[in-house]
Amino acid sequence: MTNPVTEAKPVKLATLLIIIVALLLMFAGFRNGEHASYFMKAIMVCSQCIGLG
Amino acid sequence: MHRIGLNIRFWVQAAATLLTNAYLKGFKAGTLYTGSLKHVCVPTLNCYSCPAAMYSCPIGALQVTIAGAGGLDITATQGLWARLVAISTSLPMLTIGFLMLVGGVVGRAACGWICPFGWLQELLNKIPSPKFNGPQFVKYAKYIILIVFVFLLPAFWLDEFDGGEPSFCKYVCPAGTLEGGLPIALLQPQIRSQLGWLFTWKASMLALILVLSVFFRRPFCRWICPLGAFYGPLNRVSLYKLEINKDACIECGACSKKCPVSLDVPRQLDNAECLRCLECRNICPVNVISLTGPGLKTELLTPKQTAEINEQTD
Ligand code: SF4
Ligand code: SF4
Ligand code: SF4
Repeated sequence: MTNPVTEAKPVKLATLLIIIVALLLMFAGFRNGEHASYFMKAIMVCSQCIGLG
Repeated sequence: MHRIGLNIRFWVQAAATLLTNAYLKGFKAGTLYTGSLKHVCVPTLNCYSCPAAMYSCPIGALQVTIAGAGGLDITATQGLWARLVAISTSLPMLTIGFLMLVGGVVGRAACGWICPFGWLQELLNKIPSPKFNGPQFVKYAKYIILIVFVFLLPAFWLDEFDGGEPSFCKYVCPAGTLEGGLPIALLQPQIRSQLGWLFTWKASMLALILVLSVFFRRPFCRWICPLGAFYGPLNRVSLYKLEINKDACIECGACSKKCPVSLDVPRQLDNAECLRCLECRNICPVNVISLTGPGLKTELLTPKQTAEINEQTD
């Protein structure tokens, strides 16, 4: 078969918005210290995960 | 364009499983990794109570953050100001932002390429047996599970100390049972002796999912997983996505036969269930499926090329 024609696609506005909002949320969550709260949970055996209650 | 070979995905899945669970010492000692990497979530379901886990689980992190400061129940007993502070620190912005970023860039590709529990289901499905598709409507269950078990119950079902709990982890998650519950029960006799009906319930769920995986393709991912529910809708708008030239499709069915989530690929490529595994793209004999996005060129057939294909197959 012959080679296909190639063409670049424009990025959708919705896609850009999602990525920008995602980055802003990450920044805000990081400043809130969210990573520290789940770190505390993640370094101990979680009784709910293992089915202890 | 270079086409990624099918076996590469297998090896990526194997490597990702090992890299995210590289603390093998944990299996020997029956303890968890406590290093700073656990501040970071992986983009897939991977239990942080697994003795080998190196990173945090995003679904666990969502629930823990929501439940952490007493949930979001503003009717709880604290003063108004304390409640508002609790609510502001309970919004899982970092985790939601991270998952939006991953889904916004590659859709559900993390499911298709690096999730250990997804990979396990795929491996089980290779066992020779009759295969079934299952009813379509069951796929909506995962959205209900995301909303109810990951957001609402940890936020509003509080104990006497105004604390919530991770309800998806506690009542549903079979990955937690497999990666956390079973190894910990085997390695720590004092925990094993305390296990009761909840463990039996979760172990039964796990057994059911594993058996179903032999007969249905990735049943947990398609029907239950809240992370799949989060990523799925982002497939439609993600930066990188798959496109098909329907006019040139010869309807041979090779793609749908190969799809690990049983999609009717020519008609459902943009679907929330697509894992972006690229199997359909790799197997298509007439190359009409292409990956598009920044830095990649869309492979489009001209009407003349389409006509050529149609002539050859008539
Ligand atoms: S949907 Fe499947 S592959 Fe995706 S995170 Fe859930 S278990 Fe893993
Ligand atoms: S394998 Fe290609 S040609 Fe065949 S049905 Fe799928 S998209 Fe169409
Ligand atoms: S439609 Fe294609 S890329 Fe999506 S899951 Fe099925 S085979 Fe993989």
